[in-house]
Amino acid sequence: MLRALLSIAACAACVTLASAQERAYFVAYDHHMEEPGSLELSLNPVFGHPEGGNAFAAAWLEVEYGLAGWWTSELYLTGQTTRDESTLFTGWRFENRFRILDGDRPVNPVLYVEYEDGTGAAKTVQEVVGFDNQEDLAAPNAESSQRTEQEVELKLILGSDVGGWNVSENAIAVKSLHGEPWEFGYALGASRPLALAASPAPCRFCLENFRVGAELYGGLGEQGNLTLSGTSHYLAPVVSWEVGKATTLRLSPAFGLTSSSAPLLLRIGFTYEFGNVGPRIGGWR
Amino acid sequence: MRRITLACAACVGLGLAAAAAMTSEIEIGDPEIHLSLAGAPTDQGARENPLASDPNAARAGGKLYARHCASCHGADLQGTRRAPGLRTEAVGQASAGEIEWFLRNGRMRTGMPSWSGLPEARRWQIVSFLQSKR
Repeated sequence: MLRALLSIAACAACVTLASAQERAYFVAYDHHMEEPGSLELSLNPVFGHPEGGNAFAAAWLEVEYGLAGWWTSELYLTGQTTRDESTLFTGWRFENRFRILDGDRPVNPVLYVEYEDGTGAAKTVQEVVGFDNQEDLAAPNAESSQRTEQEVELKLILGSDVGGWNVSENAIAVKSLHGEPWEFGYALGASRPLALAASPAPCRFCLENFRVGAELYGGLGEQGNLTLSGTSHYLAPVVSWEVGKATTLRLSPAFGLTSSSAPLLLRIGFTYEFGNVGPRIGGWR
Repeated sequence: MRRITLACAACVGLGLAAAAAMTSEIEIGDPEIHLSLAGAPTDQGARENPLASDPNAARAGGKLYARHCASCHGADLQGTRRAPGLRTEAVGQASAGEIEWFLRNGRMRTGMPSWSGLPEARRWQIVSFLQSKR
């Protein structure tokens, strides 16, 4: 027992705080991968009040690990609580991202593969596809939690870094394993630090620690019915603050752009990163 | 049944990934970093550091190094199990342009990330810091 505790303490001593290139976005992915051997924990609450439904607070817990320079793996756990209804665990998802090409290119492609197992009561709106709309968010928990959903999600992530700006484009395709047609969506993001150069002295509130931008995401209909009509779209300014060496806070109000969209979703993100947590694939030889 | 199968497949995938990661051997070596730096295109390697005359650049670079690089390369550039030390002949002889090019592009196979997400000015600040340690 003592030996086990000493081993754990020794491992903990090796763990360092690290600061990676955290994305500012909540929905769009950029092309930057988690550093190999680093573990990132992120808690992301979402608040909303859909028309015809009760106000809710949902959240996802994200555990991200860099397995290799070209491979990042993530586990998500989601839940929600709805006023005057109930509090629910709404499912999990497991995703992997693969960076295809080495080096920095004008456009850097990343492939994303995800399996999701959850219920229709999920309200985190981590992506918008098909004809997702605010009626889904307004449905009573007692009803929506009875609907199970197993899905495979594919994304093509394209990212560029130009003149301090990050520009990211995601094409999304989701296939329900219950025989429903493919659903499609998109997410776009652009962000930039408020100061491009770092100041020589340590500082917490200086401009270099803030990144601002916006993301736009929405549904594109489904297989055989690709359309913008009847779909939800959101425009969301984002601000990210690198509070300390390993801690990042993010904030984003997402404004619904169509009658199908929820009027407002407020997102908050808290991220903490540990470097040198575990093994990785590849290395200096 | 399908649900259980898929959940099992996900777990097996995760297990295989962990097993593959566990089998990796990491060795620290100067030749690899030398090859990486030497891979910079001639025009990129020939660039001068635009912050070379800025007396604050190395200090700012030191702050950035501590934030982004030290967890792998060591607080004193001495290297760790994960990445080579940077007080080496290869780094010492590299031009400012070659180092900035390598920071921007990384070398995915070895685990060195592309730091293109850092604005170019910050990469040059890191170059100033590294060159001040020669």
